[in-house]
Amino acid sequence: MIFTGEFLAFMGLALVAIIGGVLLLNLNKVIHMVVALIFTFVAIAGIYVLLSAEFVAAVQILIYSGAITIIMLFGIMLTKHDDESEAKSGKWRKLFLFLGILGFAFAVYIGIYNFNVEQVPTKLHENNTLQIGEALYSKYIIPFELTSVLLLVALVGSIILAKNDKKKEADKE
Amino acid sequence: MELLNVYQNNYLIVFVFLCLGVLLPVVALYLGKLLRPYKPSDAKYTTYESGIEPFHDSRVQFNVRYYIFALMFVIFDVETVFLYPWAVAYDKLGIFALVEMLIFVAMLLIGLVYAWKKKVLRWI
Amino acid sequence: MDLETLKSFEWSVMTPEFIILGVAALLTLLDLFLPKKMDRRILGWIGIVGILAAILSVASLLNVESTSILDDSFTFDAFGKSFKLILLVGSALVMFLAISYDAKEGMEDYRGEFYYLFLSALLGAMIMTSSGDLITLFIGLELLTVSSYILAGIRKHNLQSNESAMKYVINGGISTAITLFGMSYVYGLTGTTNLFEIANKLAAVTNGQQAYLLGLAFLMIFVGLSFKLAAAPFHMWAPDVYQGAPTPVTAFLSVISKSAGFVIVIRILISVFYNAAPTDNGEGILFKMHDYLAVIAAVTMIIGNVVALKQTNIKRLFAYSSIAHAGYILVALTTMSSNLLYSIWFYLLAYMLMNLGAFAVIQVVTEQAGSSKISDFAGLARRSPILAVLMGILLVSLAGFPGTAGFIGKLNIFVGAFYGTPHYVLAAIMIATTVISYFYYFGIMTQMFFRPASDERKLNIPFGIVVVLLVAVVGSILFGIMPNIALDFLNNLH
Repeated sequence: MIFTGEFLAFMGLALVAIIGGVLLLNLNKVIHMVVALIFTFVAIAGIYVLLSAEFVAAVQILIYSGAITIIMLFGIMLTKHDDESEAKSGKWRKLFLFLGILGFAFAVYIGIYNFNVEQVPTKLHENNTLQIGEALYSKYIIPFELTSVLLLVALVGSIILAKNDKKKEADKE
Repeated sequence: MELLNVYQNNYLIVFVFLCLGVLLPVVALYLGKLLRPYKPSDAKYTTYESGIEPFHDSRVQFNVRYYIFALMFVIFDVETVFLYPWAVAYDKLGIFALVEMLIFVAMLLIGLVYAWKKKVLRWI
Repeated sequence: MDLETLKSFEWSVMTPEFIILGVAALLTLLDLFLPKKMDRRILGWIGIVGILAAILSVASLLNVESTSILDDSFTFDAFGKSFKLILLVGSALVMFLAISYDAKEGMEDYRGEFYYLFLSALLGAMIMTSSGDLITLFIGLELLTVSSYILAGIRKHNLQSNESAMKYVINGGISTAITLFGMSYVYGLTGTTNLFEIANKLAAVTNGQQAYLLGLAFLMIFVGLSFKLAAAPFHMWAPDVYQGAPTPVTAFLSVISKSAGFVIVIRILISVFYNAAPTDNGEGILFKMHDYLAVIAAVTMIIGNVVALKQTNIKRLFAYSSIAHAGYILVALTTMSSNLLYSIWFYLLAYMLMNLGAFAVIQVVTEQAGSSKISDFAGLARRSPILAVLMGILLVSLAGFPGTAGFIGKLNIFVGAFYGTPHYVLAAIMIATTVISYFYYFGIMTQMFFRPASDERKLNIPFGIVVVLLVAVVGSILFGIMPNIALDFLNNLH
């Protein structure tokens, strides 16, 4: 195994991403969780950069670190924070879950360690956005237009589910 | 023709700035902690509220209206992301791309009209 | 790509999709601009007209040769045509149910949304039937699931509905993530998202490690999609969601959503993994994973049927019954017999008819009773003899008695289990669990015919329910007595 700069960068980013994820699950304060999540998002954007996917990296920062994080903060502000947290599930369940995750990780590890991927020279880093645009708006028209329907459904759905219907409360404010 | 390593090295600067961004507040706060005196007392821990005895929790439950704004922000943000490569590649795509994007925007426009008619865009 | 190449594609084969999309957009706008006081059922009728128009256009396109648009991101083939018809007819029936549905709480402001979310979900399902590209398939899947999340939670002030939507979102989100992870492996190993190219590339794979990774990808994709099929052990969400969702949505989930799930499973698994990384005797990954599929099928049949015995809530009972039916169809998938497509298609057709009919009756009875206990069916024969007899026929079909479509469907799968290498154990489990299913189906029968009614009021049956029941019962008997109609229809497709 050769320690190239790319390898070091990948290891660093991957570590940050995973640690961020683990912290997200284990921290107790919601704001801290969001900060951990931002670290994960930014690290993943870094991995995209390593893979020469500049545009996707920018989108990752824009949508995830920007918009999704804001949504989570707003979601946090909606919660009742005087609620008591319920007792966590039993030890055995945790152990089984841990073993399951370990098993899965092991299964994937066997698959990918020493896996020879043919290095194909790419031109992805040249005018990345242009390439995406050309592919998206010529070959992938159908999924693209469907995405607009999907976004419409998501918009309508979020309004249906989140809108405050109680007329009295709405009048009061 | 851009070389791959040139492209990657460009991001070193981004990385340096990222590190600076993370380190700056951490170092600043830590230095402050080193320099300031530390003599806590009960009175110092109370929240300053214009001289009134503080009561209740400082955080309140927000109105769901804010949340809807955030949700709509995300959805239109995603739309903008699609507009960007379209604009960059427009010269190579021709008139059909315009039609595609018009359909896309029209669908989202229906969503905006929906939000408007359902009165979730009103602040009060 | 210039305008000429785009014009050269036969866009006319997408007419059914365009119709559904157009009607959905039209309904959204109409709902917004029609006066508030107006009854929103009119939107439902427009929706039904739209679906019928789409059925007609599929019917008129039946003789069109298989064509594909834009690198197979839309392929119009016999597979797509046949399953699209099931989805469209099923959705039309669900729309009739939705028109007759009168929710007690929380739906007042959202009747219009109810209809066009159905249509957008249907659009997603239709795309899933006729796409040869992983990205398009995935977007179709997402469109279907996102719409169904909202539909499940549309009764906002009903706690059960809220719970069901929440459970559905979490389970669905996780399952989608798992599927996508699996798909990413397939893409990573082949470098393309086109299903046919993937199949070609994978057929040449000989490297053991690549084959191992493909197996992993197969498992992840299948596990993720099993949530959609509600196959055990990934069925836990189904009873809660089915119970909490409004009855038409439950019908939708158990029929359309499940059929679409099977469609995407067949599309991906058969076309991608059938010949992938073949061993020396030409058996692809699908054969190596064969035992795993068999176990899932067996467990699904057993859990679905056995747990259904204990249910006291009719919607939960039908949730477990639908899990069991998914198990039967998985048997067909496991055995990989030569009549695989026909037997799954026929079973889904029969299942669509009998299940939607049963849900029509359930909707009438539960609405009147205000609860969904099985005991609400007591004395149905006295209160409305016709309804009881029709429900009896549908239950007999669900149980799989000769003379009904359910029987033919099961027979096809059962016979298929002996093609090639015979699957005695699976066939035996299928028979045994079918016998178990008699107990709970006939439990409802005894309630209807032999128990005294607690509520003597006559039931009024809305027009929409009458239509659904007629189509369901006539279809169940017709395909039970003359299954050749369906077989000929499928054989004549090209």
